[in-house]
Amino acid sequence: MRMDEKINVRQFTLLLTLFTIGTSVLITPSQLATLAKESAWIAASMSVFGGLLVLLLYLFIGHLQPHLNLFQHNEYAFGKWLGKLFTLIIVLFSLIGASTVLWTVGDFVIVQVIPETPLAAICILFMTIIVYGTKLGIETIVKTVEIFFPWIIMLLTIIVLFSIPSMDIKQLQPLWGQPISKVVEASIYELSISTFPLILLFVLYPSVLNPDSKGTRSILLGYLFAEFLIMSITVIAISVLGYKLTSHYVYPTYVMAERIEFIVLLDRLEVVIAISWILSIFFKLFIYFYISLIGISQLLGLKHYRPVTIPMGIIVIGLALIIYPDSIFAGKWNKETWVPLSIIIGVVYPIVLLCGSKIKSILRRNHRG
Amino acid sequence: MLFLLIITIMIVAWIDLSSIFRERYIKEGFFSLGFYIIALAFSIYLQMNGKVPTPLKGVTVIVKPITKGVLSILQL
Repeated sequence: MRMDEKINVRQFTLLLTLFTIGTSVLITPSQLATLAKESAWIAASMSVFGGLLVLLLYLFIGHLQPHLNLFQHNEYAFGKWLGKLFTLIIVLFSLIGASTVLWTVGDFVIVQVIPETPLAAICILFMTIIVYGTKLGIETIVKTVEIFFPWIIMLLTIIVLFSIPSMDIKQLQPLWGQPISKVVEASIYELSISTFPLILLFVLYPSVLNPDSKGTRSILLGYLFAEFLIMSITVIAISVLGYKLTSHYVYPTYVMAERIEFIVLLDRLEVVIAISWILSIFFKLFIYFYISLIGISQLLGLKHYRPVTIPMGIIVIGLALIIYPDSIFAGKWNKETWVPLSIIIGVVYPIVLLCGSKIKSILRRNHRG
Repeated sequence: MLFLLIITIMIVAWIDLSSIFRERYIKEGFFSLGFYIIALAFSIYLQMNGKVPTPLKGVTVIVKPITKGVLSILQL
């Protein structure tokens, strides 16, 4: 498959930041509070260090074969058929990711903004924009990221700043009220939502980047910024609502935003978070969908991914309608299956690929020698 | 509703496939046609069956034994 589209490292970093923020800002505080209670913010801080290590691993793998994307790298490291099997697994993972994210958007809009609207209507509307964006290509999408990025960050910052007066630091105490195992578990959960799926974005790295653009440092800074934002929102959610209420709500950040009342001028600020969150999730869903299409084209040996965009969009809508029967199942599945699944795809698979690629390089060198 | 769904997918497929074949992407066109057939069949299946089991249960069946095995090795 031809990868004729190129983006620069700045655009890649912005995309990475929004992908990391994505669903995490709205969903993670609730699950972190359930697992680690008042120590949830410690779990969020711990995940930054773990996430950085994982990101360094992805960057290292990318630089092993800079002219290949991850799917081509699979075939290089494991041979044609085993490589295709790995690609198929990644495609299935990204399709599951796309449909769960689409369901989450629909559920959020139905629960918080416009109740009694059919889920199918929201999924069809949202997926239509995704399919249209995917047809236009990643170059167009990253230009959209450049336009929307300042707005998303500004809106989230407004929420953070205006929530500060309602904070009660006592809600964060006792400092180590939970055993370390619970804090680590919560930290891994956070990583499974925000960091491990980043392997999908690194399918494109660095083959989609302009050859002259270098910037490992800026990518790491972009990631740190996103994690810092997630951490701040977790701290604020727990100190404003308390861990009990934070764990009780599915979307505690939205509830927290509902409570903001700044003088008389600013009221009903919760829609602000809805806008910024829907914008950031758009890019997350785009990456999931785009990578699944790239993988399918690679598997079938197609010249381009565009011919399969619309039918795959229809399939993702269908999947989103049945993927979670309800939000209770969603929470349980995320905790019990998504976490191990994302560890397999986001940690075990890159390590296996790294070993496979290194062995292959050594064998080739010996063969030449 | 079912009739509307079938007609919509067929019209979209017709327009999309004609543009793909016009650009001489023959192999891509046939694969696209295949995916349209899958999408149409899937949509009809969803419309006709009220309660469809989630595919995630299948994922759980595969992932759960792996998790249990790893946890028992690590003795957690």
